[in-house]
Amino acid sequence: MPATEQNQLLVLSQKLYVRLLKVYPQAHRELYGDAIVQLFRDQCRDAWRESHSWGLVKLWLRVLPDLVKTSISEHLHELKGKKPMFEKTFGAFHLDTTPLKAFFTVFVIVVVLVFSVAAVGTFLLPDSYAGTARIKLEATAIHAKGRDGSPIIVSGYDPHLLQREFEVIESETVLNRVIEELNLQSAWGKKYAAGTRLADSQTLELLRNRLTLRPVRNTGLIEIRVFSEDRVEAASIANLIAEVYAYRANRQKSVPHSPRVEISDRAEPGLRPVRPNRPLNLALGASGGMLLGLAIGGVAALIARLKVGSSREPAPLHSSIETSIQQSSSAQRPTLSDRIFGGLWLAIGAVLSGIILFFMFTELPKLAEFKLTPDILLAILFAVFWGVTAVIALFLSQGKSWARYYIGALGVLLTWYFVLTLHVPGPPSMRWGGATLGLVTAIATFWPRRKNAAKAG
Amino acid sequence: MPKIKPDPEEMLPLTPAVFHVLLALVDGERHGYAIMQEVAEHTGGQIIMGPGTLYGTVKRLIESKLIEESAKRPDPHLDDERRRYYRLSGFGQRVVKAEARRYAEMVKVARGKGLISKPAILLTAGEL
Repeated sequence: MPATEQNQLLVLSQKLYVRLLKVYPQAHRELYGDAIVQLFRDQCRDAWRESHSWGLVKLWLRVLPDLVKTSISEHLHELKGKKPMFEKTFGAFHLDTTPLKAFFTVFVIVVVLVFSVAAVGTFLLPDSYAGTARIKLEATAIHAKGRDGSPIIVSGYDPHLLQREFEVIESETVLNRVIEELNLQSAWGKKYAAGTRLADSQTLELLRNRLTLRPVRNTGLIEIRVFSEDRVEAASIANLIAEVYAYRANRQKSVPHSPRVEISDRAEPGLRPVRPNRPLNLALGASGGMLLGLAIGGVAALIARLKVGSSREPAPLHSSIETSIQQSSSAQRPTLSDRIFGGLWLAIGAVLSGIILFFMFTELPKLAEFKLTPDILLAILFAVFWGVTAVIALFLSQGKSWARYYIGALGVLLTWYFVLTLHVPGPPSMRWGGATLGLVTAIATFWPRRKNAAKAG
Repeated sequence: MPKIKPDPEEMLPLTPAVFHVLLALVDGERHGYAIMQEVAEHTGGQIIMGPGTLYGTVKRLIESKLIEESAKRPDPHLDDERRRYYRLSGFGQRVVKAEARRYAEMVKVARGKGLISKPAILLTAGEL
């Protein structure tokens, strides 16, 4: 056979083989592509020397199944070599040691973070004073006529008295009068709306949020308590509510069931703030942190246990070597970016936990008045969507960058949404702190990562 | 943290392809084509490794530190300088010895059961 035909067939075979190499993963091609082609070229030459074209056909019949089988194996190997995002995030804290160590590491981190947030937050929250006035209710006797027409006096006990009078105290009639007398629309407008006078409905809602009523047991007394950052204002409002209510009730003596009202104690400006209750908040922050730490630490220990268990599995009889050897290349070590990302995940969790704790401890008395506004509903739906899809992405991503970007970007949006739109309670510094946290998360998420060290191997 | 010395026994059993590649490197460093030829020779032409299988195995062996790529090259006039040469690592030598001992034990058992009439291998475990 002429040499030119030999050359043509060999060159054609090699070109075809080079094209077929694209079935391998890119990293494998970059590492061994040239060597594989070189070996194929040597085999082509041997095959030609052995039996010319027929030798090449036999070589292709051997090489094609080899190509299919090994390309699948390389793709699987590449997937196995990559750690899921979840493992990477926790790997940033060296949780790939023992379950006990993983548990304690995560537990300590979570407790410290939650407690720190609770401590910082409780000292940042503005002081709130209470003004308390007490009024005495006396049910009026009802004059009626007996069967024989003789006058009788019915007992004054009325089981619905307190409930009815609470409604009256919180009614627009009473509270609007207080608002007008103290000009609260303007006073609170200066404080909370940059000098703009508040609408009547806004002022009324604000006043109702700051007002609590409770009966003093076995006394017939009602306690009217008003909270404010200004101790004099708190006392003034409480006193005026008591006065307006008493005036209104005593003016309607002729109305059946209307009680006689007497102001028994006037409110005095408080000397010490009643909110936030710092010792209680710190204690609850510590206990809440421990509970959260137990839960997250348990998950980390479980992951570590599964990892240790899988690494101790004996190699099967026909195992390929990759299943019996632990992957330990430097590419698997967490990078600085991984560590920041993992740390911020825990920080965001701690901050959100802290906000929930604050709501629980400072807003609990008003929980009954909580209204699900469209903003809050949207935020809750957003948070749930983020949480669910983030967990799915963490487990399915196999370390691919898209999950990191997705989770990070949504996390940043959520943080800013909560902090800037929903007006997290507390001074503006808390909002800026939250916005900064979101910004740092964004930087950590999109920070360029170190190239896969496997390429250097 | 102290570095734990890997135990060769944990690597066993090796697949035939891996064992043949390691055996081919016992005598010294070789490039891919030479490894393939030696494996074919050892097995009487029964095992001819395809390029994908050979370099897949080489990759795993490097990752598991059983072999390493040699920086030295023979005289460029005698060989293609683009060829990559591989050699056994210290750990690889211990693993291939352990595997050979395992095979020797199996042959001993087979001989005891009368499956092999006369010694089929000349090397004993001690010689390895």
